Amino acid sequence: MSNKIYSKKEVINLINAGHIMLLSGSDKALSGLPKGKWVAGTTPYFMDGVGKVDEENIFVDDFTDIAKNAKVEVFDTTNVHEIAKHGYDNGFIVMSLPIDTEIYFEFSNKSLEYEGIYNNPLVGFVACCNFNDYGNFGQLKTFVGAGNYGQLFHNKAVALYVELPENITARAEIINLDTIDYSTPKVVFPKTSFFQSDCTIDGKPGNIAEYMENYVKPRMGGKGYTQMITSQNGALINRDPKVVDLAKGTTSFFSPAYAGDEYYLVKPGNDYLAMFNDALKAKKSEIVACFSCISYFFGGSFEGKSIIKNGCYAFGEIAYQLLNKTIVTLEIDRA
Amino acid sequence: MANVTIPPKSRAEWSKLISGEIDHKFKNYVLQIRIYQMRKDISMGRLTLDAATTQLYELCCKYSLAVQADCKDIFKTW
Repeated sequence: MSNKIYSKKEVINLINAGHIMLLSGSDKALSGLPKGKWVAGTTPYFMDGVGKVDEENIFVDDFTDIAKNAKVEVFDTTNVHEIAKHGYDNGFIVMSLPIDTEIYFEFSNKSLEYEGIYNNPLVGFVACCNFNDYGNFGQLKTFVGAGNYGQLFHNKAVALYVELPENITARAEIINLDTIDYSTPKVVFPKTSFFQSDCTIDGKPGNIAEYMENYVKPRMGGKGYTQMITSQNGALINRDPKVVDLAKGTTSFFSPAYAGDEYYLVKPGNDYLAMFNDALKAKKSEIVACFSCISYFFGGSFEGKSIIKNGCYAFGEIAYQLLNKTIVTLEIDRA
Repeated sequence: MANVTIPPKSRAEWSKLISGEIDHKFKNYVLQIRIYQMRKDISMGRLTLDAATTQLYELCCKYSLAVQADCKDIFKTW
């Protein structure tokens, strides 16, 4: 496998040579690629030896060496629920979908209910743009791409299905560099949604916007909010707040808070760069792809610094479900 | 995967992992969230313990190499 940045010309050569790849780059870098066995998502943030912002070249996760077979499919809101059903008996699925689109909300709210969702590892990232453009013209620069069409799309999900030989099994794993602060109130939401209002706080009826404004913000020294976190049987899952609207009593998140899950505030890690590297060094299996959150890229000041595994950084990561501020690793075990 | 086995499905520990009678925290992400989801589904009447046990067993078959340490911890021998 290789995980690194190539020039567009080099990527075209790889595509024409039949390589099986997940590509990430700016919309400019990804446009005009020939047909082949690839899928793509936009982001300009990478770890390629060192952290870098690159709008010219393309990051390649190349699975050719381990793939027995591969296929590409494109989904819209009407059929994305079938994404896991199309997998091989033994393999994995890498996907991308664009932030803040209908398909992003559709997938994120329901993916854990999809038929066959646990049959094969389903990993990937949320396509985005340069953070400076987000909220302005960012949507115009946010795409996913599918090699079977040789085309970029605004409001689709793309999936690369890779079949593995019998002696290799793939797994999706996550790393969360923050932990739960159980001394903070327990917040439970009655519905699964990106957009929340009513909740219970330590068992009593409450409002999440008021909680964010009156409890969370003061804890952050008046400077914004921090993410909520829950444990799904030991898997630490973040939900990053996006917009707190006190007048409307609502808070939107970068991923849906699930009904019934118990959320607390985070205990943040103290040195993301060191913690990330330590977590990777502790891995015993082979990592074939790594997708991380730009919250770590910015919060850990990764630009110009080195993490021992290359990968792209995006506005959301996927490991069967949409995740925030998480590192997703696709790993393989060989018999 | 050749030459790697897990305990047979008939072992009582499988259902106890779902019910929580055995409180083992798998390190593997998919097993963590799968068991979490299954417990929620059972509590809401959407899944039976028997069906959940079968699904857990099948998932561990798929990841038999990765769960060897967990199986030794839970089942001791098989």
